[in-house]
Amino acid sequence: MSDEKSFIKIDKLKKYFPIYSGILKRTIGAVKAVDDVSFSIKSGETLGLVGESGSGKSTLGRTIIQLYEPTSGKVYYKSYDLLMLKQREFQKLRLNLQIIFQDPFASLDPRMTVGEIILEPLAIHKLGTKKEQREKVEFLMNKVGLTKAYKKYPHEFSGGQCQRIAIARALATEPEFVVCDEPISSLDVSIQAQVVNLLEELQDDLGLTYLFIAHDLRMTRHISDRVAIMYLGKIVELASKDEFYSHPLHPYTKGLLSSIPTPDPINERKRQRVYLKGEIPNPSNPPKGCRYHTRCPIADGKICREVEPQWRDVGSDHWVACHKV
Amino acid sequence: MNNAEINTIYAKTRRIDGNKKMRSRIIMKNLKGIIGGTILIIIVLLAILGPSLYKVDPNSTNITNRLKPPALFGGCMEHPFGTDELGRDILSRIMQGARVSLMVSVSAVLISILFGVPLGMIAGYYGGVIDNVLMRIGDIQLSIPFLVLAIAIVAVLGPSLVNVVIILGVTGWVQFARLVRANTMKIKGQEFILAAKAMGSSSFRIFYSHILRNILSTIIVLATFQLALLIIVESSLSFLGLGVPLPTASWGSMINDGRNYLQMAWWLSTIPGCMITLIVLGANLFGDWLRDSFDPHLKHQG
Repeated sequence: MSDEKSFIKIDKLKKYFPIYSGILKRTIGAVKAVDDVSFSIKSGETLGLVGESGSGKSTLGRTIIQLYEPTSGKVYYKSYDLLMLKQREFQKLRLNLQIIFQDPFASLDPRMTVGEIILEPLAIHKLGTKKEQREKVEFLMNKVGLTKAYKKYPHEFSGGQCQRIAIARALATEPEFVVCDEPISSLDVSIQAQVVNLLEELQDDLGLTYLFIAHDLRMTRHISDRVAIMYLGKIVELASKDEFYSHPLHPYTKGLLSSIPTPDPINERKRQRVYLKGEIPNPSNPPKGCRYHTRCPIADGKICREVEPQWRDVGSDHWVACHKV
Repeated sequence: MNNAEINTIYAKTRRIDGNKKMRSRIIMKNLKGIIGGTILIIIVLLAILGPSLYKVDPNSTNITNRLKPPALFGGCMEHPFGTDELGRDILSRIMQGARVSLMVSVSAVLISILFGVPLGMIAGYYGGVIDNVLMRIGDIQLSIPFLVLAIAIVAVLGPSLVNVVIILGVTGWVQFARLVRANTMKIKGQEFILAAKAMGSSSFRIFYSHILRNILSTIIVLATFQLALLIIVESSLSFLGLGVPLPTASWGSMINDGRNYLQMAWWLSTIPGCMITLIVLGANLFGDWLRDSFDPHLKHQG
């Protein structure tokens, strides 16, 4: 990882959620939602982050922008070490790090008008005069394709429109980095394309960098420059889009990719599937060794069961954590 | 007749029918609110405007004119609700009592809100030790019987209008704190609070611009119910002689005064009693209606 190029750099990041029990609320364990993750994101790119439910991808995204306090590890934004910053200094950087949530209805305050919602970040950071703020809101609403929405409430809009309101709000402070936390998962397929196209358009216009969290590999292929796969709190493979889809190395990635149906019925019949067996293990008690060995078709021997695979570069910025590669 | 004509006729009758049905349905749906609201408005107007329209001194005694029955029961029009054991006019005393009751209960509710809402939000939002401490204090307070507490406070401070307001206000905060705490806990887990944090909102901003905004309707509903409750409590205190000191008329003390004359002059106690019933009924009906119309889940039923 070349340091000068990296825009966001994550180093050995961990986020454990403690589990309490008993009247005395003693800590009896922890859900290891993000466990020792390192990677970097380049300026202007879209990094797709894919994983099953409960793999910790949302937690990772939220920990990067400091919505959750990391248990250990480091997050760098440009030259800033985000964890070392004082509250007030970080407050200024906040503007540059934004997030779009999965459920557009839940992430908008139902008692606020759309205008107030988009205005809020501007009001919090006291950016510009009242008039300038209002103009900015109008501009943003136009940008995401909403008109005459200022005085309406979120419930008067559809899911896709609400997601565009959420996007407008995230972009109000002119951020450089946006975590898209499954922004399209709760939308209809026809609306998904609209929102994804809007996100791409905005990226070109404003030079945004995205961490695009999803569980749809095809949509990820469409929007991402690089793709990372997460399994049980760890990233198991990270590669550029073309490399990732043409030469997947990790058995988990292969399993996921082979589960994508092909639209062509002849190819579909020939499609070789690697079935993922079983369930994702409990993240508070992950398997020893390689976390995937309980479900892995090629795992064998002691090494997979007892030694944790190293996170290594196998050439041309293709990173993988597997003993068998 | 061709089809088109039949259709227009049907359409016309249907529309008239629909309008009538619609109107009666709207009235039926909001009946509670209409009745409760009317009662409250009448009593509030009585308290505010009454004394300037009906100029009889509630404290002027006239022994020769004592225990006159209400106008409808053989009395005279000079004293529409009759007179009491000292010949004081009951209608003007009722109006004065309404003033006292409303003033005490409204200001007590405002005081409870002033203490209860912020404390409830803090307890619900931060949780942990703060939550435990605040809620246990509330539990301790609730475990002391209210009247015993009131007697103790009055014994120390002496009976006065301000003291009654303080007693009621200070003891009422727990109800608000509990409700607000529960609602805050529900709201703080929602994504729009996380979104506000991601934007860099301060906790204070989250409190007033997100949480308060979302629980305002429940606070208003509880306030109407508390209002009704406090009117009864104020009357009980006055009945026991712990409320507003004499000679200021209060419904509770009027009932108490009339107790000795119940057999020969029933109206002394009955009229203020009816007023208490009426205002409490009005406030409860209105509160019920408010709750139903604020709650989107109940809106489309019935």
